[in-house]
Amino acid sequence: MVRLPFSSIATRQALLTACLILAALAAFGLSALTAVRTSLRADLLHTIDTDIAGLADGAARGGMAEVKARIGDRLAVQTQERAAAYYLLRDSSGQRLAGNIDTPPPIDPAHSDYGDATIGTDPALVRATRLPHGAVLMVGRSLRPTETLIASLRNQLALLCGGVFAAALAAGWWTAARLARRVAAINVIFGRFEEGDRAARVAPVGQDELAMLGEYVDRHLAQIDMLLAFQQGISDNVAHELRTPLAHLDTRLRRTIEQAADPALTAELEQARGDVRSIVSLFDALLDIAHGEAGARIPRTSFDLSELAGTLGELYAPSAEEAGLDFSTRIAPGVMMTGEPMQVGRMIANLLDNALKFVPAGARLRLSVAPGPIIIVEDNGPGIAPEERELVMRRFGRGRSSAAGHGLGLALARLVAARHGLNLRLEDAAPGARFVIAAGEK
Amino acid sequence: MHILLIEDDLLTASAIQEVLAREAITVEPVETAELGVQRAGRGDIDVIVMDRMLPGIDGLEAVARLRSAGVEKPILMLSALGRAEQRVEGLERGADDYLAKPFEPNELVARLRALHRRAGALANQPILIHGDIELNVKARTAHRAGRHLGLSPKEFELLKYLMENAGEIVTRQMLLLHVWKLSFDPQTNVVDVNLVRLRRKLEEGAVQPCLETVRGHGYRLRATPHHA
Repeated sequence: MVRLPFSSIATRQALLTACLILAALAAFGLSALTAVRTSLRADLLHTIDTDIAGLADGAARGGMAEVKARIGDRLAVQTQERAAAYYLLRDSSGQRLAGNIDTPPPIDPAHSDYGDATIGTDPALVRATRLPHGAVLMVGRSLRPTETLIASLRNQLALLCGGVFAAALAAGWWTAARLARRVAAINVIFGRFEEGDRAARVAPVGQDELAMLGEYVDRHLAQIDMLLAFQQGISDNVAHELRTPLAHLDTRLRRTIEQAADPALTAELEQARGDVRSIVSLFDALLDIAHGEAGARIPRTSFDLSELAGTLGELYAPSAEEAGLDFSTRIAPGVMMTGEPMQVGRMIANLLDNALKFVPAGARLRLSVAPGPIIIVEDNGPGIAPEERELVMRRFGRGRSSAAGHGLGLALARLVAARHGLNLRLEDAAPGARFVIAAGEK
Repeated sequence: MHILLIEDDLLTASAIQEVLAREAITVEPVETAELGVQRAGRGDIDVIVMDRMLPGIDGLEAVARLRSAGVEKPILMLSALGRAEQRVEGLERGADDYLAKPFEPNELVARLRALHRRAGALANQPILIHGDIELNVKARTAHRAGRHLGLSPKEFELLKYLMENAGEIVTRQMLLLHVWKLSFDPQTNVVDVNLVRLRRKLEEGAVQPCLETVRGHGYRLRATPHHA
């Protein structure tokens, strides 16, 4: 069976788990980052407000000159460790009196608002407020240290997420692979059993769910094996018990024929022997069908289908010609298939026998084989009416004509096809009938 | 020819003895596989005929025992289990031929003779001659009374098999198995039609018929060597 990537349950499970872990970690990390940033900005705002309070106090004590002096002092002691400080002091006419802000950000001092601003190229948090006599004071702090810290935390979080995801995926894959191996081992056993190894068993080790499943599988395979053996035993016995008296009957008829002087009697007895033969052949066909339906094993040997079909073509050509049919074969060379060659041979022979019986003289009959394998027997005779198509494929179904034969040929051919993983279908060759044996749905 | 018959069904055993006696084939019957295996070990037998379903050891197992005991004589398995699969199983387990019951007495005789001949290694000759028919196996050419016969490859195989068994009946099943390598019976008379073709080619312009139909049994290349 061809498997698509990620089609394994275990692999998909591993991927899903890793994704969930990643999502949870990322959600937690991002919310933590947001909390840290909010807290840092609150601290910064608090520092700004304390600063403003100090400057307002200066204004109350010594007027604008005092505020100017204090701003000058503060700007003089800027350090690298702390966030850069920004100031602007304007009088009521908008004239700058002190500070290092060149272009005032659009923050309304009437309500002592604060907000984000860009000073020069530096992102900053700024509050604006009014002082007595219409003066305006703006105090800010650079957001750069905060942003740098957040960015560094974000990078670390991304690295952590990547690492955890990879680790979860690896662990998941390892577990998945182990699980897949154990499930595959059970599937292999089913496959071997199906192909005729009736002794195939899982023989699980351990106590977990898969070991339990293995035990159940083993128990059921043993039961199927026993039932198949039982069924085979019964059909062998039935065959023996029925054929032996028929053989006796045949022997007695033959002895009587040898002693009979009356030609009319001899002819009658020969007829009776013919009847015995018909019963035996019908019986064999029924047993074959019963065996096939019970899923008896087919040896998995590879054989040359083209050669087999060629042989059958040669065998049937004279009869087809004799029946007035324009018979031809179109057989691709070297088509191999797996299965039981004699069963496949009989399947093709049944289709050809069927054509010899039902296709009228003058029609064309062709046997073709193509890689796949695809086997086609088609004619351009009157064909089979749509309502009779299903009937002729069934046991004892014969369609309109009642030629010789027990009516099991096509049923048997269909069964043999099914046992080789193929389908026998009947198509309209317009005109004529086309029997196609190929893989695929009905 | 001397046959060891391993068969527990007395009516079948007596019928076989009757038929073979007429062909001057002597039969030594035993009823169980154990006795059969012992007897076969002492030699002096041409062909072994063995039933498949025997009391005690069954026929398939007995064949295996005979083969592992070094008995190389041809074995014909006779059985009430006659489906194609069961025939193949019998042949795979070491039997040389497999005949389902009920069978035609002539079918049994023909097969026994063929097995006996094969054991005598009459095959593998480069040129086969029967009467005025000459077959060059290597060049794959056939002549009758000096006239070249244009045979198809299968017709050549058919004639070769008939010549290897000249004078004896060969049945349809034997022809299917040896010429076409098929171990099932088609439901129509395809084998007969092939034989009719071959006969037409063989007897075209010839003085006398040589391939006869033995009604209900098979075919025989007539043993009439009118010139050596």
